[in-house]
Amino acid sequence: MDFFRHQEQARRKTWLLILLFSLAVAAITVILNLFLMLTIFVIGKVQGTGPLTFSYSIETWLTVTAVSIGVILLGSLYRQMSLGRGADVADALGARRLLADNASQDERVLLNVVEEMAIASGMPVPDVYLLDDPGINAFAAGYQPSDAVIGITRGAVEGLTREQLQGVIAHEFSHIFNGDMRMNMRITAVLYGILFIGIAGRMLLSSRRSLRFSRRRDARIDIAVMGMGAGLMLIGFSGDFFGRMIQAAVSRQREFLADASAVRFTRNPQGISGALKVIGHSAGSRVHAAHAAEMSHFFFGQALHIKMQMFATHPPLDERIGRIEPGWNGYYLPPRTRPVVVNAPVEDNTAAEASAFIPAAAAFAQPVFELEKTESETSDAFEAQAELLAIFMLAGDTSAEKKQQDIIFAQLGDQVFRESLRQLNALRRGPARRPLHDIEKLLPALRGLSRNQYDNLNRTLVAVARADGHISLYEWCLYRLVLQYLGVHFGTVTPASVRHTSARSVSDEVAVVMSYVAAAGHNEANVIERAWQAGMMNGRFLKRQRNPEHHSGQSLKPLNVALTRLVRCAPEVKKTIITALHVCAAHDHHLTQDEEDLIRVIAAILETPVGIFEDGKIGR
Amino acid sequence: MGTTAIVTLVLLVLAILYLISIYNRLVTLSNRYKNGFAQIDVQLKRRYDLIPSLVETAKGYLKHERETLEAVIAARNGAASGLADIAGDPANGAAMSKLMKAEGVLANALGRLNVVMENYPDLKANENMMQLSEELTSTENRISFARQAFNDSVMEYNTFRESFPPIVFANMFGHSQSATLLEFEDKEAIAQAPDVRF
Repeated sequence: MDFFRHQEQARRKTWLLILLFSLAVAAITVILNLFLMLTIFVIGKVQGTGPLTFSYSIETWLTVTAVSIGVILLGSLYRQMSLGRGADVADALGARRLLADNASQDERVLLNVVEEMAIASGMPVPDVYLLDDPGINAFAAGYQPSDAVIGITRGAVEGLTREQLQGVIAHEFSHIFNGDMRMNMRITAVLYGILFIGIAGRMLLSSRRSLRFSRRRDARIDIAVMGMGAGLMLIGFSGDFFGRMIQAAVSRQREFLADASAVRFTRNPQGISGALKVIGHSAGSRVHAAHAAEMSHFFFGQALHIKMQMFATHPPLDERIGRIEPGWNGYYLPPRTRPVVVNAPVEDNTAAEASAFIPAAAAFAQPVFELEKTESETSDAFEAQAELLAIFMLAGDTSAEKKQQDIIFAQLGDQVFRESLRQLNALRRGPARRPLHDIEKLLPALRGLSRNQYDNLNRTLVAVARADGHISLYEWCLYRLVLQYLGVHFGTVTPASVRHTSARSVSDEVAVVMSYVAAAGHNEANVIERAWQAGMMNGRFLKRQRNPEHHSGQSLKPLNVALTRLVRCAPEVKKTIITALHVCAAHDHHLTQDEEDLIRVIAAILETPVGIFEDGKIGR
Repeated sequence: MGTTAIVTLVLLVLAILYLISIYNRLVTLSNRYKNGFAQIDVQLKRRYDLIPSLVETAKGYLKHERETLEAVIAARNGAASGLADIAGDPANGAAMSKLMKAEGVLANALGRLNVVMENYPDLKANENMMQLSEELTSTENRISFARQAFNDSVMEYNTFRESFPPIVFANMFGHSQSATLLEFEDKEAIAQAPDVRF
């Protein structure tokens, strides 16, 4: 591949497209002016007031143009603020920063490759983020080389050889080097402005429609103004449509440029073409992260499933490979195979014996099975998983222990099962601890699980908690805490927008939650009632009746439902709620473990720091 | 003030701005290629630092390969002292060629060590060893990328300096000479048979 020629070609095509885009924008302002001219002319004629002078001066022309440019600039500003630095983009995608200190072998290779490419391209070394996704993809973000970051999926780190990884990283460096993100941001900003014209037209249209019956007006003016709204809509929306097409075409040219630059940086076409062939062969490049759609143009390969080729941000895979390797025979490559040591099934007699003797947990009192630890990362997640399961087993009735063990064995396999039994014994023999604190410590390691592993673990946890026929309040607390913290990481829990800004509007829900808290630490019915009243009074909620059914002996469903609504409260309201719950719990001047756990978990679900009641101010 | 005066003034300002941009671009490009050389220096040192730990790890497994290990250490010491002699001055031709010769010897010794290690699967599977050889691979890559980036940036500098308007002013701005591409003695290495592994 003659990369200098390909780079030149891609650059030239980009500039032609940008020129086309600027012409389109200029054409839109001209059409807009002509259209306004026509409307004013028609209205003047229809109204028949005053002389029929055609008054569309140069000032009006300039004003319209200035307003359009102003709108575009505002759009640009908004866009820049909402995207922020490269690191913010990585965070929005839920990527984890990689540091050299605790990197696994694969991750260290990745960090080295990034540093090599920084040298090859003569740029500062960017921060590296890992995206927990099985697809093979990577992204670069940041307006300046100094704040740029590079992100890569776990699928790419595990499935690509060192050489291929180099090609992918070099491609991403090219995006930073050529300022592609800046260019894309500017185009998007202009598109926002064009879209705004269409939205303004739609607003005009609907406002006239609603005004028609309220005021007596000449129907002909209505028609003229509605015509204007429709015209603006047409200009804005069709402008946006064609603008997007040009934007996608620019993005495809930048991909060709980045591919050519990758070859220039590595002087090795096999690396990048190999990576593309692996994508073609297997997992593909789809990314499932929450915000992948908005950021599709940052990625190495097509991150989303695209139906229309003209809006695709990336050129077809085969065309890209064909340009890098002109004589390509059309065969894809399988991903690199790597030895998986930790989760490999152990096929020896001890395993069979162990499954036959499942109830004999005491047999595992000594750590008989020393697991081989090859990759610290994986084995951390593995151990954390086992410890979490042990905590859950300990939480249930001992009568269901056998059933719990069967579930773990069936769902997660032999190794996790044995490790969790070992952990369970350690927990039993060790001093009494605070499992909620323990769980919080396990969370960072659990983030190392893949999405599939997490889903599997999640199902197992529910099944283990249900093994004794019911879910106790304590089990509920444990599970919700895991769900809350890991759900955000794995994208199953999405941050909710604020809907309730006053404490009074959520009184019904608070009444339910308060009932559970009141019943958690008090025994007699009238004490529960008084504690409940105290809590409700403290937060100045509306008067409600307490439903005596709402306690942990009964279904926990109302509690779940109420909490999902309370999540959408404003932060001050949440603070009020937590304080009130605490007053309720401390009504008898004694905070039991159950009460404290429950409030702690509720605070975690509402994302309100617990610290506010640990300073001793509340509870008087 | 007449129109002519205004036009002349505007043209003058534009000309000055243009000159400033040429000057700045020359400075940027020359700094880039000088930095390119500094990188080579850094990465060579990094490699010399890695080799002793590599030998230290391998020693336990390669009891019968004493000669190979000693050859590696000797070559490493020779190259390190060669780099010290250059003292960051790429213009010192004699010292440069001495370094390049020592580098060639080192590359040879490391190649032999690699072949020997093929016979010791335990050593290859050693976690420490895996990390070290990854670091060494990465460092070798960095050295070659640093050379490549150096030569690319030298070429970019020269192309700009020798193109039409800048060539007129380059002398005046103190960029009177084109930078020279670094001729690394790779020819020897290329002539050798490639390192084939079965």
